[in-house]
Amino acid sequence: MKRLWSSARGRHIEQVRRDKRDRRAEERRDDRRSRRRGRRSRHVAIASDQETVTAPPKLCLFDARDQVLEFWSVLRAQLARRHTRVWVDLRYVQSITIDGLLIVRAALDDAIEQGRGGGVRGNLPNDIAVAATLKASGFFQGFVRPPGQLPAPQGLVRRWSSTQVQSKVAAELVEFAMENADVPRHLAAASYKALVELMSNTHLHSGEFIERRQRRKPGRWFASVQCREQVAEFAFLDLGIGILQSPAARSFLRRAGDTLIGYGEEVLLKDVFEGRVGASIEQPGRGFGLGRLRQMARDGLLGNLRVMTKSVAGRVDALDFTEMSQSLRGTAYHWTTKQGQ
Amino acid sequence: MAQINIAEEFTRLPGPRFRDEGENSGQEFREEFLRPRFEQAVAKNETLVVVLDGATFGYPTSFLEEAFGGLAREVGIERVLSVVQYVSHNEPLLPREIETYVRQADKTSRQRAKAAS
Repeated sequence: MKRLWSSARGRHIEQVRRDKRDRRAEERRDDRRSRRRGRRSRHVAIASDQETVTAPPKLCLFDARDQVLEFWSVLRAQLARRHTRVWVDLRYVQSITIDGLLIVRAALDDAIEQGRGGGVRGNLPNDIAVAATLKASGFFQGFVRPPGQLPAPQGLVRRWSSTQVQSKVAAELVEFAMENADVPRHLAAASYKALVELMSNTHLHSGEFIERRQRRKPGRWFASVQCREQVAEFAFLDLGIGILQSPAARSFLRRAGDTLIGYGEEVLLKDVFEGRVGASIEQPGRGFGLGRLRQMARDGLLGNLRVMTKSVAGRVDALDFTEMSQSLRGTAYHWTTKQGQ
Repeated sequence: MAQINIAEEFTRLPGPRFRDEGENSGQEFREEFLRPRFEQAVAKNETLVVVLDGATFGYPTSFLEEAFGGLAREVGIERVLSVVQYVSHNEPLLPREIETYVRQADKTSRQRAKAAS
């Protein structure tokens, strides 16, 4: 039988066929790999990198304001970047109050509402007592919890947010305080009135102008109550332009022939709570609300009522305001139902 | 004597000042309830008694000012003072607070501050 090819040629042909098979297999592997890489590439394009923002050990807005405001401004800046995933590192938090909790949650909610932030994740504190409270609050769903079983939470939390004045929500928060902290009715009523007034202020004054005709987009408020050891703590926050830059305040300064820097933020805030600044443009009958809040604080109905706006913060009853090194864009309030404060 | 009971006829949870802020506003109460009853009372030469008891957690300042101060701005301060009376067993000082809003209904905050200094 005539051989069609020599052994060497046969070996060569076999080798060529093997090479072709191997090449095709490798091409198929490359295709699969590049398809996977392509999908990952698209995912990476949506969230190109991850930024970690670390919370300070004391996450209490009014008691550790400089550290908390610094953390918060970094957090907001990162959340404002559209294709960035943000990791909120709460590992080192050892104490937290309702105002600290609310300001972090408000930053996250605000970013989500504005369609910003490529995604937010994080980890709860290593301190399991604090972690339990945060987990129970529902504020940080999806955050990684520390290992082991968490103890019962220290206190119960309820929170709400809206752009409208919702008297039913104010009633809900106050009734939550009555049920879980035995808050007496007269203190509950004071907190209800305060909440409605602050919601109204946010709606009317803290929103931003949205176009040249100066229509105003209503501001969004965030409110929360925590009940712990027979005391209810309320926190209220808006992330708008703040009391000191409201149209009423600006109008007041114009009439005084001064600027905010020249007049002084602490002085202006005193005027606001003494009822001298009024509300919106000068309309009769306006401007009683914050003055009434101060009166309730002086009467002990809003325990230790504190306010923070721009670079000034302090107690409302004594009009004791001091300048801060950091700044809050918006206005925050905190008070308790503990009498005698 | 005409009577209006806010909690029973309008709401137990009074809300903000204006309608566009939210539900149960002072403006809504004044326009839908208070002003018509006031006019009826005036037409019959009667007193209008406003019952303030029954609101679950009382009345926010802005609600009261818009309702009663607003009425005074519409019909006149003296007319409101002469026609409207208040009943409040739960918060005895509330009628005096409302009267303050009525008396100062035509004053801006600047004018009030000037008068106080």
